[in-house]
Formats: sequence, structure tokens, C-alpha cells
Amino acid sequence: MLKVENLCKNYEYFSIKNVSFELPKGYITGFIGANGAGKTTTLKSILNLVHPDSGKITIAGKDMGVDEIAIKREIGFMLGPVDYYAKSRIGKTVGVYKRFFPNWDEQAYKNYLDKFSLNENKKICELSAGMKVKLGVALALSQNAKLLILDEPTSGLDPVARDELLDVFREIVESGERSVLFSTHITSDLEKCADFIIFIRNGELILNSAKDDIMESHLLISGRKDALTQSLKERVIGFKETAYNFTALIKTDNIIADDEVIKEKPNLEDIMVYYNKEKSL
Amino acid sequence: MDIVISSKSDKPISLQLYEQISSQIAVGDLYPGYSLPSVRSLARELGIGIVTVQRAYEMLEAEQFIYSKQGKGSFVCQFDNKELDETKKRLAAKKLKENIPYYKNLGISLEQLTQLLKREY
Amino acid sequence: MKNIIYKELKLVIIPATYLIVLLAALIMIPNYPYLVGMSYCFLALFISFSTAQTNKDNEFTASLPVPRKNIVLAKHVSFITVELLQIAVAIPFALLSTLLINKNGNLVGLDANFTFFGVTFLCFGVINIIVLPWFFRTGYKIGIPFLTAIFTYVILYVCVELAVQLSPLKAMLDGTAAQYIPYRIAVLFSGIAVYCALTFISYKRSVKNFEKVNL
Repeated sequence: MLKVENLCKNYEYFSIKNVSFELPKGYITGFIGANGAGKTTTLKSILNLVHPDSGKITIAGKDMGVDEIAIKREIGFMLGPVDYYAKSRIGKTVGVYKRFFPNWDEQAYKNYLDKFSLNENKKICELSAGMKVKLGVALALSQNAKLLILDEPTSGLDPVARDELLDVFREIVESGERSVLFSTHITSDLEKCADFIIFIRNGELILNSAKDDIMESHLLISGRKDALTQSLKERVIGFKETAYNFTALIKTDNIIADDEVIKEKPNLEDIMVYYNKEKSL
Repeated sequence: MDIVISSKSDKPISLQLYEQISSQIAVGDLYPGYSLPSVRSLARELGIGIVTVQRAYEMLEAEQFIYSKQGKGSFVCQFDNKELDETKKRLAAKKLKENIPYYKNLGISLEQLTQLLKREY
Repeated sequence: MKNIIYKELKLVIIPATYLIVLLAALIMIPNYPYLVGMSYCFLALFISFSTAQTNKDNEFTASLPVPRKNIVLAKHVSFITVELLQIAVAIPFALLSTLLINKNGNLVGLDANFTFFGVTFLCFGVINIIVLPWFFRTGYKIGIPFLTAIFTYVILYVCVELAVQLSPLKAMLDGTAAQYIPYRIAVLFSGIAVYCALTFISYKRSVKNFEKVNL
């Protein structure tokens, strides 16, 4: 569905380094990373809003460098909650917006408005944060997008609104025809619905596989301080030491029977946190 | 079909799914020919990943609890009584095996464990 | 292409623009620097662009499937439309002014004749080439480019006025004497030509600037 090959973008103090990944059709992919890891820059580069220095983006078989406009008519993207023309009625702005999309499905749009309890006569500034996100999602879906790219759609939403939105995502991919890529730093959202995880740190791709694989190939271990031997230190991904104990993240394959540790299933947050404590950093 | 998922459990969700469906098949709650929900609709209903459900179905298929027909979905396999018996034993053995290291760690001998099992069963 | 122009005219250009340009009626005031009357279109454009900036028009535009050069072109079309509207509205007032009200001529500058419109085109062209390429270095910041352009516009106008008033050609270029009409028309067409050239260069430069912007 979406293929990113060797994406590079250099800024003075930051760069995206050779990021490559592929998004299969019909799944939800979560894009995680700390603030400033390059999530937004990567997404904007994919959309050619930021011009990559090098790399190739292919969406549904079309090259972004060649068919940018055709591609953009067929995908939906939202880089933040809808808050442009906030003082205008939704109907007015959308009336202009929809002219740009030849595949616009007015009936679907009306259905989404109903489903999300959005009223076209309201002004965008009168909507709650969650509603603004839902409006963006409604717009993306009504243009019959086969791929949805969303930057931090759940940040700023309360747990109820987040849960509703995640349910919308699950519904979108249920038919197997549409894919969702969304970035977030709220990793628990992904545990509930993502199929694949892309994790970047400091502009570099760290992990890119099925969520279940990632969760099962890592262990969170903890133990007494003296259990953190030199050998163990070399095998863990990252660790935290206190005066009384230590905790660390380790690849399941790298643990040995001699390690005197308590093993737990990590969550994505642990994985993100400990990868950011990696020894080489 | 009843499925109860715990996201807090240390057991991977795909394994939880596998265990629950396989045991329901073994006891006959899910009868031969029963049409399982599609991977995608089950994922949506349970609020879990599609890949997670796919993995569980793959395990079930590998262990011949279910079979899938292209474009039609997944169905519970036919068993005769003998096979069903074997399956139940297999499941039970698997579960027991999981806990053996724990008993060994406690220093419980096989005899002690057998006695305990008799008493507790 | 027509969609993005529609978007500009529907969302960016404030409706009050169509009233503001009527201030060209000031041309009927006796002994008045008429170019002032022609400047209100820039007030309208400035308000429109600032409001658009507040409304995050750049974010909206970035969410649309439109090539960058068309975004640039649409903003140019907005400018040209409002400028030409201003000039069109001014024509009847200019006729009234020169033929009926101010028959004795304008003591503080050019009469509202062909020369005047030629100079107006020249000044508008200069505004375009200053504001638009500068605006497209960011795609949303309008304040400083606009102020600089207006400042240049005033200085330029004063210079041109002085040049005409002090030059030996004043008799030909100013006033409404029928025998010099061809000269004044020549100035008008030169003004239009310069306007077209400057606006075209502005477009080319804006496209180049905007291509580099990270939206």
C-alpha cells in the first residue's frame, strides 16, 4: 500500500536517516517515537509537504515524486486536528474542500457526520478537540481514501474520545481494503488496535514488525542490583538502575537460565522507554 | 463462542485466543462444521489486532482444530471420539507442561506431585 | 486549477473587498492625490491575507491535492482580480471626475486620465513583485512584505508624480487635452505591459521560493 525507501532529510540539527518501511494493505500501523524523533517530519516527507533529500515513496503503485496530486486525491491525511477556518461554518469550508476530490462520496460524508454527531452548521471553533479530529477523519474517509495517514490523532483527546476513535480505525480496516498509518506517543492506543509497529528514534528506524512479534520478542526484567552482571549488561537493550534494584529490557532470545531476574511481558511504553536508554546512546 | 481476553495477563493475546477456542472445540461447545467469525470481524469485536487473531487461527489450523476454505472462512474440523479424546489429552498435557518447571523449582518430586494431584483433583 | 481559484475567492478574499474597492470614488474629490483612491484594494488584500493567516489557510491549502505552482498561481489570480476590479470600479469615477467635477484639472497631481491609469498599473506591478515572492518564502507571513511594498509604492508614486509635474512633458501627459491622447494612451499601455511583466516575474519567483518551503 505504502512503501518508503531510504528516506533521508537533513536539517541543521536533525536528520531523518535512511528510513525504509512498507505498509501492508488492510491493517493498522502505529508509528511511534519520542517527541522530536522525527515522526511528523517523516509523515510530511511521505506527503511531499517537506521535500525529502533522497528516497522514494510509492503509494498504491504510484511514485509520489511523479504522481503527487493523483496520489493525494486517493489518500486521506490529517496532520493535526481540523482547525483551519475555525470561525466559518463547517459546511462552508467543507463545501470548498470537497470540490478537490473527484471520488468524494457525499452520502458517506453525511453518514459520518451523523455517526460522529457533527453538525455542519456549527463552527469549527465550537468543536471539542475530539470532534475536530473526527471531522478530519470524516473528511479523509468521505473522499474514499484507501490509505489514511494521521499525525497524532489521539493526542489531546480524553480516554473516551480516544477509545471511540480507535474503534473507528478498526472499523475502517475491517473490510481489508483500507489501511491506516497513525503516529502517536500514547502507546496504549496501539496495544489496543495496531497490527504493525514502526518505531523511530532520533530519525532512525529502530523497530518495524508485527506488534505481537515485538511484544513477544522482548522481556522486561528486574532484580537485585548484583544480578545485573557485566554479562547481562551487555545483553540488555537498556536498563535503569536505582540504589536498590534494576530493571531492564532484553530480547527474549538473549536471556539465559543463570540470570536471577523476574521476567515480565513489557508493554510498548516500556519498549519505547528502554530503547531510548540504549547503551550506545 | 465465548472469548474473554485479558490484556494484563503475561500470556500473549493470540495464545489466550488459541487456548479458549481450542478448549471449546475439545469439549464440543464448538461443534464440527461450526463457522468461526472471520479474522477481521473477530478482531474488531474484541478490540484487538487483526494479526493477533490471524496468529491464533494459524495455530488452531496447524493443530487441526479448524480448517479454512478460501473465501468462505474458517470451520471447526470433524473429529471422531477417539481423536477428540487425544486432543483433550494433548491440551491437558500442554497445560501441565507449562507448570512443571515451577514444581521442579519448588523441589516437588513426581510422587509428591501425583499425590497432590489426586488430593486436589 | 479552477477549484483552488474558487477556494481563494470564496475563503481568502473577504467579501468586504467588493465594498472597499468602491472607495475609488475618492477620485471625484477635487485636488486630491488620486492614487490614494486606488490604494484601497491593497487594504482589502492585506486584511484578506492576514485573516487567512489567522485562519491557518496554509494548513488548509496543504491538505488539498493541489500542485504548489497552482497554489502560487491562485494567489496571483486573487491579487490580479482585486487589482483589476479596483481599476474597473475607478473608471466611471475617473470619467465623472475629469468630465464633470474637476474640469479645471487636479492641482496636486495627475488628473484621472490615461497616464494616471498607466502609472497605477506600474505601481500595482511593483507591489506584486515585492509582496508575492516574499510571501511565498513562507506561504503564510504577510505583514512585513506588505508594509515594505506599500512603502515602496508610495515613494514610487511620489517620484513618478514629481517626474511628470516637473518634466517638460507635463502638458502632454497630464490634463485632458485631446491632441495628446495618443501619448497618454501610450503611457497606459506601457504601464499595462510593465504590470504584466512584473506580475509574471513575480509568479516565476514565487514558484521558485515556494518549492523550497517545508509546509
